Amino acid sequence: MHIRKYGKDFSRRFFLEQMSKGVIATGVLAPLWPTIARGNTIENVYPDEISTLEGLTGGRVNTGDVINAGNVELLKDFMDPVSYLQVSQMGREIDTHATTTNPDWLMPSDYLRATVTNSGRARFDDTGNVRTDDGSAWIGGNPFPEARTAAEAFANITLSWGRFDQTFYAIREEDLNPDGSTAYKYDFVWCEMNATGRVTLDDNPFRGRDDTLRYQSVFFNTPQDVRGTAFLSIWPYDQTQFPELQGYLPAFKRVRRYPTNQRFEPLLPGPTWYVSDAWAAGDPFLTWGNFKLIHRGPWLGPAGLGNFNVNHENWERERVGGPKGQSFIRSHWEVIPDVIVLEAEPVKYPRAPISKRRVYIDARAMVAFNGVSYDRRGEVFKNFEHGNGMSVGADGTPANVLDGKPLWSWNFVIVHDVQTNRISLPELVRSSGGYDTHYNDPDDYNRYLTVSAMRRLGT
Amino acid sequence: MKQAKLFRHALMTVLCALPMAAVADVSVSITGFVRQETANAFSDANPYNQGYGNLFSGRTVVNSFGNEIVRAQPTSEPNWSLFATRGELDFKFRFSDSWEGFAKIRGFRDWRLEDEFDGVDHFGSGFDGGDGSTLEFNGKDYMVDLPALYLDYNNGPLWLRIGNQQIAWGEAIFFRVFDVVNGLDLRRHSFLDVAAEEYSDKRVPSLGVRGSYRFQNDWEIEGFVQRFRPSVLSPLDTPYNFIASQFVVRQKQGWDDNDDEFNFGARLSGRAGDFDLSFMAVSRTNPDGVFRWTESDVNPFVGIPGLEPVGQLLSQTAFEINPAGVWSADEWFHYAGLSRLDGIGGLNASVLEFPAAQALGAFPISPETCAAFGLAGDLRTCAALELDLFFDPNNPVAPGLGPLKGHIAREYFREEIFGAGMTYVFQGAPNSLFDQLVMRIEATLALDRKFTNLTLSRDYIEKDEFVSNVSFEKYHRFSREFPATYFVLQWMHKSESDMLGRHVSGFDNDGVPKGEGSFNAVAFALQQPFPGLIWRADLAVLYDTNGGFLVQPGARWRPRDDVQLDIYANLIGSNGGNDDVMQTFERMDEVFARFTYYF
Repeated sequence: MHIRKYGKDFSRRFFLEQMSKGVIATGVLAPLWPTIARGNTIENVYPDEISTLEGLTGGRVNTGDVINAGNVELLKDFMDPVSYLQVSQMGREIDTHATTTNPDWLMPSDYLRATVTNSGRARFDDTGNVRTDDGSAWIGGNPFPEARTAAEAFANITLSWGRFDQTFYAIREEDLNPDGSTAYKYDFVWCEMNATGRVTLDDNPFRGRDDTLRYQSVFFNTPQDVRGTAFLSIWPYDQTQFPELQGYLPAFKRVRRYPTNQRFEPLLPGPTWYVSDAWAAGDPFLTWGNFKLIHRGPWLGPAGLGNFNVNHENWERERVGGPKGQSFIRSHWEVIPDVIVLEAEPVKYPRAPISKRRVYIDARAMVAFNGVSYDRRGEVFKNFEHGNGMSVGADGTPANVLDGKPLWSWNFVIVHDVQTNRISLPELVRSSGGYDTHYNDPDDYNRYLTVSAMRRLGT
Repeated sequence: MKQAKLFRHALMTVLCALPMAAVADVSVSITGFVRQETANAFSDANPYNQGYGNLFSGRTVVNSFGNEIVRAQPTSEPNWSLFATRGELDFKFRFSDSWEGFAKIRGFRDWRLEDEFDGVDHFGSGFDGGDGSTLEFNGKDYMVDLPALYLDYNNGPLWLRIGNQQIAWGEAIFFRVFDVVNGLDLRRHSFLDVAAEEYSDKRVPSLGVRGSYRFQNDWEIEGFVQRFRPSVLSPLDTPYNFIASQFVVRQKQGWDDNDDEFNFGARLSGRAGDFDLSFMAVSRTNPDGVFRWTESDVNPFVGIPGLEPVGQLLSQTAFEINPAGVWSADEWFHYAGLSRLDGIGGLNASVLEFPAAQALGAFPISPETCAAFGLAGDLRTCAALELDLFFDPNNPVAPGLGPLKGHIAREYFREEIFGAGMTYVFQGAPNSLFDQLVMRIEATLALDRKFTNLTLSRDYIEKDEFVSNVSFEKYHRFSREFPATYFVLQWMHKSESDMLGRHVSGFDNDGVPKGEGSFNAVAFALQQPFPGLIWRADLAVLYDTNGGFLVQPGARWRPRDDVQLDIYANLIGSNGGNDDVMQTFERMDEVFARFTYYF
């Protein structure tokens, strides 16, 4: 292709220049966001050398190949350290496919449309919070689609987690012992609803509450002793403030208010993830600090198709690797040509067990696909790998699960605590505990996102 | 038995609903567990029990006449307070976004290891055909019930829960302030389960409708109407009983008189600035009930010529001749103290309110009557003389009746309770003492609440009672390696009664109470989870400011999602004087363990 005329080092120089200046600019051959905003696909934004496996490896690994212990050394420069460990030493295999070039496959359509419509209207106020140019709370989409700083990129991944106005994720999670056996199984629901920055639902901001960012609840349905355990978190719009937390524990049989600064421990025995890990942006972003740009360039990660199992009635995914061959979701990755790797420190959590988190952001959609946490000694602690992508099978078969069309979503998360070798595998399923995954249902506020809902969901 | 029928119908409804639900494409989720629960006692036997702890059994006392009295009853110290298997099965039905259903089947069997407590009915409630709750049946050593069987309806801001259910209000833990809707069922390990689990297994479920409506500003009004159910006491002579078994507790009539009563109430809760506020009002029949002397209806001389009229009179008193009763005035006064009753006043009430007692020669204790014995200034000795006169068959005055059991009736009365509560979360520098410190205050006022008269008279004590709780709660992370430690410190004040509902005027009691002005207790608890939450260390301390304490250290181990082991100890003590609530439980020290398999 003619794009090769830019030569092998063109992209490297492009990204190195940004690293030296500490300023981000997306797109290599053409500016990314204007291309998307014009309704174009993005195959002409990045050269082949950074958008294909062949380009990254000089043809030694090809699109469609399986990344495994035999070829991972050729790709280790484009992988986070935990994934590399999993493939090189634990038998994890990762399927690959061609880089996604359709922006509609990188985020929900309404979110993309709002990002285009509202492009250029976001700015930080004196407190560091994002405001629309008229001073109101952010009105939806990525506030900084062409993020130039780490803070802007963090704002993008925090203000809207699921990229829908409202999500109801039925989740099934297995937590694995170091020997690969299953120690814990949980069925639970994770429900989100944005109060501000809505892109689909009317009533924006929700009931005029421009001081609220989102409502989020999690409630557990199995096993028996945790059935009914529920937490409701209400996020202030002000990102310097902790969310309010209400909880229902079956032992108490009533809703009680909880402190919310304990965000670095599992909710229940078994999971290796913390509330803080969610979406690689689980805390208000202004409770973190010392944002740094660590890396720019192509990277490998989940996106596009293949991470949704259209062949399983409940969408459950195949497993691979580990001592029992069940330690990892069999995932589909692609070359993400433009990745921003940021680092941030939990400055408002002096006793947090982690010293920093590296967040891997797909610059095409400004969505995080991985977060690697480091302990206080600076050693790698765990990852939080999002299986983002479309509800489209590896062979291109779509699952029309939202308004008769495929949807973009997270699909699974691999959370691997490499220090204890315990792994958590929450995955999005059609149904768990009697609840079905669905999106953008405004009635879910009353059903799942209020204190009385917590009480009703409790047993 | 109508209760058993009702239970069977309810159970059949649940079981029939399963295939129907499957056919109707209703989502059904089933979970459950089997658990072995064991408690090994390591202190003296429970003094409130007959064969296992009466402090006078086998002991020689010299009565008012100089006669040696030996309470001729067997006694032994049991080892196993609890050796039970519990199974629970939960069914959750999801019919639509608006309708859901939930049913829980609970079975509990006490195996009575080493034949201890054999022959004792462990689960008979004493009322309503012996059943503790509406959907229950039981035998001497087992019970099966449906503590939850309800439908949930949700439509926008409206929520209704219809059926058999528990209702828990308030946010205070350990102490019950707002939590006034349901009584407690103490047949399964009494109050002595894991403190952090509170009363979730104890609240007596009942049929009712509960609902709430949430306004646009997120203030919420909640209300309920629920059939009255009494608290269920540990039956006499069971390991955790705390009613002296020289009594016969008659509960049937009290229930029959109130079984058509309904409780109702409302609560308003919401946010004002940084404060969570709640206000409540409840009209209820107090499930704890009150006790008074009642006719024994036992004529021990039926068919015995000459004595039958005496027996007829005796049956119209509160007493029954029974070797398991009180044998001496010493025993009478000692147990009056333990029971926070008035030994002299109790005797008087049993005489003055029962003409038949007077016909048998009993007389009230007063300076005037005691003057005849030269004891006008020593009413206690005078009362002892009269008591021994009746207890001692060999007294030199007239043949006594022998050991006597006292019959008491449990009755229930309506009351109105009003309350207000507030929660505030302090903000401070990260990791400082005040950062995210949660303060809660709850207070209620019960109007014209009735309490058991210290004399067991039918003229109950009636007072307004103020109950308040102040608590501070915090998660604090001491290190980066360990999850946060949970602390809660609480203070409770009750103006009229202790945690068991006994009026404080009966405290500081050696058989004749001096009384206390109020009840005050402090509770402290902490939980320290270990990394991964597989292990958790617990400590709960309850301290009655009059000198009693309960210390409950323990550990929980959860190596897998289907297995859990809990090991705890209850260390209970008192400085004596019958002036603190924990003295009642001080001989219930134990180590208890629970092994659970979840499925």
